[in-house]
Amino acid sequence: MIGLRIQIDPLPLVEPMVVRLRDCASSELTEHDAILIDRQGNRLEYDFNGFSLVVHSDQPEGLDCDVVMAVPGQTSAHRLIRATSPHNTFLVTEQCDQLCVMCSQPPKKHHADLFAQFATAAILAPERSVIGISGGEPLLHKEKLFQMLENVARLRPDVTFHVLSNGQHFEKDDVKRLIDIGTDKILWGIPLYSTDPETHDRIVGKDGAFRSLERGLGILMQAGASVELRTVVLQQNRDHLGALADFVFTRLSFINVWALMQLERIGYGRMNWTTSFLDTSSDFEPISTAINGTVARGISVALYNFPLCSVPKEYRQYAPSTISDWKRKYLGFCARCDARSACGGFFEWYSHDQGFSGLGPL
Amino acid sequence: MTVMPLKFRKLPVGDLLFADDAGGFFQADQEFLHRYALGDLTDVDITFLEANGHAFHELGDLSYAGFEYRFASRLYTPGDLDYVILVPTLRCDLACGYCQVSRVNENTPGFDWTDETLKAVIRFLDGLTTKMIKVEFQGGEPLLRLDVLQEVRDFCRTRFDKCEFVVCTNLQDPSDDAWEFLEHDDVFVSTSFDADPGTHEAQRTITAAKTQQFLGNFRRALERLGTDKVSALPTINPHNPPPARSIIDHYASLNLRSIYLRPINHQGFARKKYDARGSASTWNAYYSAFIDHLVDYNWIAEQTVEEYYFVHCLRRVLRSGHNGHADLRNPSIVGSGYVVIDHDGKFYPTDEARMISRVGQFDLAMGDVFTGISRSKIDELNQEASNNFHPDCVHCPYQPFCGIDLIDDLSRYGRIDLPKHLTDFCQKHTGIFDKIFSMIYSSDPKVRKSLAIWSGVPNFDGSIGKRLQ
Amino acid sequence: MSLNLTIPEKLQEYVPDAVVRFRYLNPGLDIVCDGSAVAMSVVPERAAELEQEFMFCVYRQKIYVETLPLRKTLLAGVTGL
Repeated sequence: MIGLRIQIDPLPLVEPMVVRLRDCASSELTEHDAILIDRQGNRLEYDFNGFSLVVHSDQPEGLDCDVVMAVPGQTSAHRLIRATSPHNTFLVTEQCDQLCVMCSQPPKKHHADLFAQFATAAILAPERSVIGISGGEPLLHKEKLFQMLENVARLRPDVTFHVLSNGQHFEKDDVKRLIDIGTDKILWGIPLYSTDPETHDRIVGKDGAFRSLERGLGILMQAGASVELRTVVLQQNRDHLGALADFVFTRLSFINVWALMQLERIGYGRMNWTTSFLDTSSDFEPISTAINGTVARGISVALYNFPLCSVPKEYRQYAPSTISDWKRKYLGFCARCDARSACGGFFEWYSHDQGFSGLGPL
Repeated sequence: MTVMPLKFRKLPVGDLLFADDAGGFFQADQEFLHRYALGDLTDVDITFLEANGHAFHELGDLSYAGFEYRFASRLYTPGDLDYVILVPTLRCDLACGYCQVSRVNENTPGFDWTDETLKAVIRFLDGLTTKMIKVEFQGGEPLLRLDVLQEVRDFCRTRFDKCEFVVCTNLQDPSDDAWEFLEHDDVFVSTSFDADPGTHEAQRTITAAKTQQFLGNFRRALERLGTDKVSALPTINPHNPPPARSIIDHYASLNLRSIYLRPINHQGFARKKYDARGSASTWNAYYSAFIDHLVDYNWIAEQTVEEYYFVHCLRRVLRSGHNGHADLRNPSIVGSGYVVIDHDGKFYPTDEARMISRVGQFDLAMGDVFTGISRSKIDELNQEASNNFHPDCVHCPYQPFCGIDLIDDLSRYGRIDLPKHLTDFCQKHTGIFDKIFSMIYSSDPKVRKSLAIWSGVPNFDGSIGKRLQ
Repeated sequence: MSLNLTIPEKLQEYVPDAVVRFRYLNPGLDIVCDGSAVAMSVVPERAAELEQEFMFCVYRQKIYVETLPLRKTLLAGVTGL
């Protein structure tokens, strides 16, 4: 698995520090850059403003232009931005106001405010980076989040964000702010599981969630926001996908894409696997109907986290490779598969004996 | 619970088709109509209307906003002027019976751009704000002025970031230089191929020798330029049309899979020879049968075929924002997104406007390249160019998918205020939408297969056609 | 024959405008109305059809008038006018 943390020799820090690692000096250096001065096997020594920063790394792709965050007292730094990867996400909070049945990042009570550090990291990111913002629920800290987004939009207009949020904390006043940041700068990933408020609320573990979400989506529409509507397909909403397709068309035609997603077997998703996982490799019909009705009516649909062999041939065009590199694996029979390079594979924690029944090399 | 205004139309079997201004639709019976009109909706009615996007609870709620969005997306807003149709000559080496262009013979002087006209056109193009341009050369036969085409092309390539050139040619006798011109990546060919060699000869080339000459060039164009760069349109006489299957087979054999049927247009020269009255119902019958033939063809063909305009109308029914075709827009604002420059340097808002001005019926010129564009007359016309509140269209369930064509009305009837059902535009489009909806509500697997292909999905979801029980 | 239609009270205010439209859709048709009743001269074969068409005209007029404020609000929201 790809490492998201990196071992460092401890530093005398009083607060978290963001550093960009450079293999060599260049003309665009900032105060946040550390230059590699010595390398012995996995031990890399950097000059950071006159101080020594030692990193221990066995990552084959190297660390040039990576942005890391060292935290006081810790011997491993967070790799906030891996320069060679398209999948970089900032976990801005572990607090959440929902308790989703498939949550891959179960919430915690404590919040560590690192927005300033995240802003710095985004400003140091490679050109045209797409940075994920995730939690918990990032909008529980809306003001700080917006300030961060506004800062970065100003200083690095080429950087864009993909924010995962339950969409329930928007107010009318946010419309202007969203427009000023730039509607093409943020893609909002917002989940909706059913048009039946009770079912949606039950899946996300929060009463009133559906009604709040309706309001939030209305505000995003007003702001001309870019929205990726996300629906994890589960046993619990299998029979609701048709009504959901009609809802998406009649109320949410403004979205960029409707992503139908397979379940990730981690966190609560793993705990609730047997009562939630929908084996779409043998029961694809609700998905295909939703796709057919939605695409014909002019709205883009995508299948996220579906291995290509679990999808009927004529629907594979809707299944891009979506699983982040750091949590992706392939199975034994994938070695013989013609579609391996196009396929996103499986989650690292996928368990085949409890998973899809209809798989195999293409 | 507030219900959006619903328009309705009787179906052949007694039920009705309902639609709202955003293009949401459903079928229901006469009892529902009575309940709706008299304000006696049942809970079942309301649940259905709510789910299908026709109702809202509070002004500004998600249902309302979603409706507003779909409604707004159906309205056309013109962008920068980025599409020009240039007519450098009226001279042509053919004399097609239905030609509406008021052509002149190949050797007639005085119907070409002068050097001054060309310079003025280039000055005009230089003044545009767009970064991308599409230039369509028409005529007469534009290849007779290859020199003009080359100069315009060369200028545009240096002036604009992205260019697309379309040459509307009869492919009767292109020179070697003309072939070289057509082979460039940014040049596309649009030609006429009237269904089959026999019809083509009867309507266009007249002699067997000229027909063979055309066919040779046509095949050469398809081979050397490829079907992505060559489009061919069949012009059909509604009163004597070639068999649908003949058109489909001939086009498919040339790997041309998008057929855009063009009924002979009565304007210009065509009016003198062909009778325009009563053409719509004849055409509609032929057109409907043509679609049926396509459905049968596509059921077993390995490579399927479409009728271009039908697919465009189908997509306008199914989705908002499908405003790409100049002939089917609402509001139909002309003279903004594209403009025509005639052989004498005059500007016209559309090709039809040029032709009716030429036959002396109305003068819709918008100034000329020497003195500049003048939009005042066209602006007056544009003020009437929407169907939303027209006394007939406002009641029509096809209104959100349809458009309006004042210039076509002017050309045929000399006025723009006829009851719509008396106009060719309305009759033609009513026929097309009747056909589309009969297909959407059909459970015939052959129909569904073609609908799937034409709406861009692996399978057609029949539940798109909802029914209130 | 004379086709006589009694118009329910709920619909009466919409009849005059409906008649205007009905007349231009059916030129040459003799039709008179006086509030609660409408009479037109028709050939028997067309009586049922014309009655239905006329009532449709009245319904359409009612729907148009009642929903016009909503349409204006919608258009204002979209065009800013």
